[in-house]
Amino acid sequence: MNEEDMNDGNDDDIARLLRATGAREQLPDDLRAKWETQFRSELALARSERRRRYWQTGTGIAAVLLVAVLGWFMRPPGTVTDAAVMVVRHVQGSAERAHAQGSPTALAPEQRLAAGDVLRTGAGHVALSYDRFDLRLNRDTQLRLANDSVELLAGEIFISGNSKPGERGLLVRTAHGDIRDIGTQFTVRVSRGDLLARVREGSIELTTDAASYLVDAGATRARQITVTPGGDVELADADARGPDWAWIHRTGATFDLEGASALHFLEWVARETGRELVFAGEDARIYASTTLLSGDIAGLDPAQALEPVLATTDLVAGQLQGRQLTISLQRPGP
Amino acid sequence: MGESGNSAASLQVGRDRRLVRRILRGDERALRAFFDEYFPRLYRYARHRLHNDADVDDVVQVVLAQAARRLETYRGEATLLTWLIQICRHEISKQLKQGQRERDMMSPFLNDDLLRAVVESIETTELSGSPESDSRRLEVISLVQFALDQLPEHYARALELKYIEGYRSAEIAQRLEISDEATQSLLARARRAFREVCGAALQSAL
Repeated sequence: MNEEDMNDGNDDDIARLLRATGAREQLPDDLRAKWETQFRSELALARSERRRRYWQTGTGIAAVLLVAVLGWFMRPPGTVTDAAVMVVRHVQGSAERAHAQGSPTALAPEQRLAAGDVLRTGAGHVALSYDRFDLRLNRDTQLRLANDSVELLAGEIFISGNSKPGERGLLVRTAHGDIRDIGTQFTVRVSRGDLLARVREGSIELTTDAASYLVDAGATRARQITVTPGGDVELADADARGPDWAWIHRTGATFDLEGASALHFLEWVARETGRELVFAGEDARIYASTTLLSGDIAGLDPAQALEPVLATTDLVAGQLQGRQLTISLQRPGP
Repeated sequence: MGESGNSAASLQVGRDRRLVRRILRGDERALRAFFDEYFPRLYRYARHRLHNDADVDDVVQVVLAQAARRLETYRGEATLLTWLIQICRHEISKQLKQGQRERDMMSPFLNDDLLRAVVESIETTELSGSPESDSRRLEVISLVQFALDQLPEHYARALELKYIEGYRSAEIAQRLEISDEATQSLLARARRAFREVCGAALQSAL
């Protein structure tokens, strides 16, 4: 086969275009050497950080296993063995912890909590981790922690979790009955003798002395169940977003933007605002997963943070109305 | 891009995943391949958008630092070039905003109208010297060079040797250290890939 045979008919077009364009600019040697040194050094740092993480995880697992094994053999008869891990994540305003022994102390981020502790928020808001659950306390709330449940004594809490079928959800005890989540986001409020539970994702199960009620979130609306002091039960639709849910952002729980992908940020916004994340096309999803963010959104709630963060990318969000957060890729003209 | 384009892209993604795994294992040859293949592309990408050597250096350094730290998270959702370019675009965007410059560097790579208009008058604009035509010419150069950068490097190099530097097939074979027949085959594949990357825009423009 000769060269003319392999020209695909005519190569004039390519020849003209490439001649007019000229050869590609070469990377200067000094820049290449500088970038190579920098990349090697960053890579070495990342490698040692990764090793440190693996080592910490490995030793952490070994330590936990050792403690678990020792604890198992040394446990007194009847002790609960699966202690929940409870850690304060954010505190806004005043909030305190009443110990089983001793006087109350102010709550602080990263503080470990224990079964038997009672948290009181007063004028403040608190976010904490309870095992795999994100738990937030509204102002004027009192919550007692236990290893297998939390007891809402007064006020309002928000719980967000990802319980899968077969996994035990978090049990919330109240004077009116117990509520267990089934893969969900919900709030429970105890106020003036009423119990109000509102679910915007998944389901909850309320068990009173008299009966058990399964409450499913609707496709577009939340559902709520109210138990009056007289024991009457009412089910109704409720808003899945808006003023009733706004307080959950006042705990200061935020997203660490630095180095995170746009996809993780958008998943966070969707979850915090009770929406489903939808991409207009696969290009938008790929762009989101490969775009890294930088900066700080402290002080902004998720809906407020959405626009300024996306303004640094080619992604645009549709109007924040309704159940979905729709993201598309903007291709600005020349 | 057609079916062949899709399978080429998935082959490239597979190759990129392997390259990244080897880099993470500390394979020196993989690291050198990464420098050779991607540093010049990142440089050209940033250079055509920033027009200031100090900015180019700053931006690419940030991109490389981010890439090194996040390399273990690369899962092959897109090619490594696309992954790096996305980081680079984001950093350039930040850089331009910081400098209160509004020039949008995120225009599509192959804009039909732009390409058609510029290529139709490409020879005349070379000598016209007006700022507008110079700017459009630079734009199309950027587009075509980015199209070349999206090809495997040996394809792009073969096209440059043939059509820009004017070498004959036998001479290219000698420079690339392959047979004459392999060179002709390489050129044919390179032309097809270049047309594929440029797509209908290039066909209609010429």
